[in-house]
Amino acid sequence: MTWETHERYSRQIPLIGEEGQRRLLDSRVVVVGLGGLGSLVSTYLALAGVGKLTLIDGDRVEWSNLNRQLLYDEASIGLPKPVIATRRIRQYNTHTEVDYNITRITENTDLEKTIGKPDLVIDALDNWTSRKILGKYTCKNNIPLVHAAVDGFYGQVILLDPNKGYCIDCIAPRTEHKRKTPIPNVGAGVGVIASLEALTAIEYLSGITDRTGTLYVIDLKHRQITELKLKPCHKTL
Amino acid sequence: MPGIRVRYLATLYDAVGRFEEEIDCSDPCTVREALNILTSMHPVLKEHLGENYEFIGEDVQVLVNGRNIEFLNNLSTRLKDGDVIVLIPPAAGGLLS
Repeated sequence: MTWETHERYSRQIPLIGEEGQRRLLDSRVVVVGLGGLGSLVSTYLALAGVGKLTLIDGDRVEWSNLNRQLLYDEASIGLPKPVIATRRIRQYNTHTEVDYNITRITENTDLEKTIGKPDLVIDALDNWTSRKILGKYTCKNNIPLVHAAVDGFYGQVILLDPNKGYCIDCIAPRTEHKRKTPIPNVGAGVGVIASLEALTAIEYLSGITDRTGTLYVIDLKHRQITELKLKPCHKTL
Repeated sequence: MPGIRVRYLATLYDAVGRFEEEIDCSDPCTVREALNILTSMHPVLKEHLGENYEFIGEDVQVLVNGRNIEFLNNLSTRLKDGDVIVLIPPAAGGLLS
């Protein structure tokens, strides 16, 4: 590790260790969804020193995004989110290799090509239909996934490692996306959920804590985090 | 008579007005019977769970001791003294594109 690298991460190395920092620098993460959750999680992962990031989203920036999606500003309106996000994150950390893919996650998406086999996938999606498709892929390929979702003042975060029997259907086996109206949110509230998702990823990648199978349900209205230790629902190899 | 602890998360906490409570359920007790007790105590729960609990699984998730009842015996899952039921409403993620 060079002096500059060590200095850059000098406030977190006491917490995650030099070995943990090296693991972050050597890791590749795919962030799926660059909205309220994904824009913050990808930023925090780059700031923490994740070596390679792939950013995926099919949307363009809209006015209604600007109350919470910190990677974008008024000049970004109408532009593809992955393009703006990639540019901004490269400015934050020039040592993080960032690439992107402008696509939505559907049954027709070639996930082998789009996602490949990273060390970790971040689920920052905005609907359960895409989430189920993504979760099926990561489950089949034994790729750990950090899932988060937010709805109003509530959210949830969980690390799902198929190698330990946890996949997306362990938390919601039959949930499909039915909502047709925008979900209300306050940017600062989404930020809490996103921070917890990013922290879960950093802990896992650096090797300091593996929270696989523990579902955190965050209730910002009552200022409460409930920790639920789930049972695995898949057989491991 | 099994004592069952029930936790209501997120919007269900708002609906019921409490985070946690304990109920007594006649032995043999199933999840359905526990829910019958809960909906009689808190009729508003039926709006979230469905009149016949048809929203469970797709919308509201029901866990018994950390396991989704979909992987157990659904509403017929037997409960024993000290079991913990958690009711979790869905969190979607953001704006539907």
